[in-house]
Amino acid sequence: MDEAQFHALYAATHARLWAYVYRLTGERALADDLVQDSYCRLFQLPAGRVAAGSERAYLYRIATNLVTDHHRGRTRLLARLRELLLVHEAAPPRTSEPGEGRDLQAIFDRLPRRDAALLWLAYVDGHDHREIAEILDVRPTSVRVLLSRARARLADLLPPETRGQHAFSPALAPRGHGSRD
Amino acid sequence: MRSLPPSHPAAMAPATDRELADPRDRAVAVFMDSLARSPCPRPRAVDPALLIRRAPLVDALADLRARERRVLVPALALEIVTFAAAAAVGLQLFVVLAPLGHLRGALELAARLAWAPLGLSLIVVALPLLWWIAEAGRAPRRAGR
Repeated sequence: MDEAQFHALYAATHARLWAYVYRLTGERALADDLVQDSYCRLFQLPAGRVAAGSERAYLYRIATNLVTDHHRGRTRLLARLRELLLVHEAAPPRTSEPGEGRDLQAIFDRLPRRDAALLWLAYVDGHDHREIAEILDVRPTSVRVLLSRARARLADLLPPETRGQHAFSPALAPRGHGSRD
Repeated sequence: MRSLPPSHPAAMAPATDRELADPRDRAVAVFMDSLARSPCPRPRAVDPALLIRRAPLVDALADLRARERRVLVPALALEIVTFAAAAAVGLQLFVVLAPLGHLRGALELAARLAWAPLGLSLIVVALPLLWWIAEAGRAPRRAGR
């Protein structure tokens, strides 16, 4: 990838990729670091490693792997600390960034990481099944099932009394219906 | 967040999607929409040219960490085997050198029993572990790992 292509890709994807990583991590500084690392690693890939036109999906894949690695390390560390301190209650919820939709993010944080990524990629970023499969390193034929399970898990987390009563109108349907489900 | 233009097919007919016929799926769609539109901090502005300059360093660091992770487990296993062998040697020396009286027989037996699995494990495990460490250090990384 040459510098001009990199600049164009950065301009086209940075805001959305940052939002994706931010919603998965919930920390602004961490999202900044992981997104920057993702771009650096993409730029350093040898020529021909990423098929033309797949740069965006590959970039998301790098970012997703970085988020997964971060949470894996953090989970192990927390588990060890809990063992040491003999504290068995769940990890305290992270502190919310100022201005974020705290209630919504708190529900989203309770989803398994892959489900959260799947739902964000499908509903908000509008990736199709092939791209989602490439980003999450799963088979394209599995995406439909995984997405369906993720939807069910999220629906279970939503309080019944607030279903359909969020602050904003539902402009987002699952996009690209034909290719997604 | 991305918002579709009004002319986009998905934006024009959200209510006709099969998923939205189910109230639970509709609730999910509403939730994701609300989440996407909810206030979110702004990313730190970074010049892409700076990222280009930083890229080799980030890549080298990631490569180093990946090798370190892959080598860690076999290196620990090798270390445990080595320390166990050293302990067996120490026990053997203790048996030979110390005036143990009636305990000597039991300790000699313990030393003999300790050497059998350790000697075997040193031969069977150490060489493959060394090979594993060498190979793991050379293997390519996955995307972002």
